[in-house]
Amino acid sequence: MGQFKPSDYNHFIYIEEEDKYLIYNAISNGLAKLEPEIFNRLKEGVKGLETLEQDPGKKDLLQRLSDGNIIVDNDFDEIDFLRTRFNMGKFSQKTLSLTIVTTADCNMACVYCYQGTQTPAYAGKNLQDSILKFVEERIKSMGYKSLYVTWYGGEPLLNKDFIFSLSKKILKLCKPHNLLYGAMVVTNGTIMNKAIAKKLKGLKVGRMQITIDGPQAIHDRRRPIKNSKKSSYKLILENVKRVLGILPVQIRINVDKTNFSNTLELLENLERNGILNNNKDLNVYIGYTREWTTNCKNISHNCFSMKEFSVAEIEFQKMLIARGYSLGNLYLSPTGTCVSVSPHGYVIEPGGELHKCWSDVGNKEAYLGHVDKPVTFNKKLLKWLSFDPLMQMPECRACKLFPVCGGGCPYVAIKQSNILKDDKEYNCTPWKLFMEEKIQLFLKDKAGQLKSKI
Amino acid sequence: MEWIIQPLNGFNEVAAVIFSDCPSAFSTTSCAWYSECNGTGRMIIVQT
Repeated sequence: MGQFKPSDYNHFIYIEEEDKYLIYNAISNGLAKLEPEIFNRLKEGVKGLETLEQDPGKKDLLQRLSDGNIIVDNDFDEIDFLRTRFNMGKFSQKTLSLTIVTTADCNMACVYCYQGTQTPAYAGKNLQDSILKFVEERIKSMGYKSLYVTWYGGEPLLNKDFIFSLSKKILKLCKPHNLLYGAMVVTNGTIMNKAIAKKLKGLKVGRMQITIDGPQAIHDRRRPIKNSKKSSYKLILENVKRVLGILPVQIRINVDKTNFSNTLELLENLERNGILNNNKDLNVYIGYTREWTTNCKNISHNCFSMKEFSVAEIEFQKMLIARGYSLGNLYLSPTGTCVSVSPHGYVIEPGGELHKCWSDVGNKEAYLGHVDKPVTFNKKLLKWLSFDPLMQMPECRACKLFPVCGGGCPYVAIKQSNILKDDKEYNCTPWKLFMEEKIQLFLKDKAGQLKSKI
Repeated sequence: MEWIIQPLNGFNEVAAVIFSDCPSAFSTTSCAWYSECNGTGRMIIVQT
């Protein structure tokens, strides 16, 4: 018996015009072009590789195949390897990651909001002290190298002074511990202005995420300002223009069956406003709306399935490329998993209550601790920390793209597993459904074949 | 055989995602499920 077997995580695409094969290995993330002869040996499995091993002239080729994880030692267990890699990421003590909900209050009333109509709470000075203590204790016991904060809401900028004040204190705390610090803010963009952006930048906020759901009429219908007839769309666009060049902006377009067809019009509008054109500080992508909680149950019939979303995503990417935007990073990258299943990531509510996921913000039943108290390994917390898709989900164990998605969204797997009974692909990556098309798109973009004039 | 994208090797060469260079945080697509993490880079990845 030979030394090698083909990896279980190889994916092949035939290139007719060249009579060659593309091979993507999901563990190493490598993409290569193969001669048909090598493809045939790989398809033959262990026996085919034995043929190569017996040929002294193929030593270098075997080494390269091995370097790319395309072939592995016969007794190498790739599932064990992936599980180990997954757990090393999950339990890595490198970074403490906090999402801080500065307020549950919001000045908008988005139709798909999952947070409900709780009494608006604002984080105050007491919470700042508690968070600082929480962080310092953990720095000392865990030896983190970095701290990352996501400012979240409600609308986090309704409590901007809290962000400014706590950021300063965090920066002061990080210094003697030599802790690298970074942050971002998820905002609806209605309150943002130049002065705020400058201040945030000085406080190490590296970017902001703002959602625009379509051209004005569509966006305003989906994301209206509370108790006002004022257009949030116009306001947001003006604010984005003001802050570009100060802070990078990430525009998220939440799409479903009712608004995806208007995406092109939005892109055109962003261009007309000088927002999209050649702007290195701006990035735009589509995301999906989902029935995360019962608070947004009314939107479920409009939501895309993963398959529908995947189709929309490819269309959207083609749209961008065709308009002259090189996406640059169309290629997928292997992920570990969401920080929600790590013991080093928490969401902190304005009252100090702890969660593991944004989707639980406002859900009192999901509280799993408090920032003022030691975190105990209670039942709720263990549900997250013990997330182990390769052991818990047979579909993931059998999936040859597991290294790419790491089991998908833990919130869905843990809290909405009933959905997966009816729709097995609900929590899968779009790559799983359209891998060949996505790789082809990447290659064409890389070769500049899809660009048109802008 | 010709590499188009070089493979990442072992544990150490897998790029860090959490911080500012996070490909999932500031890209349209490179993260496989950025939609779930809202593109914020909350994804963690193996780094030793």
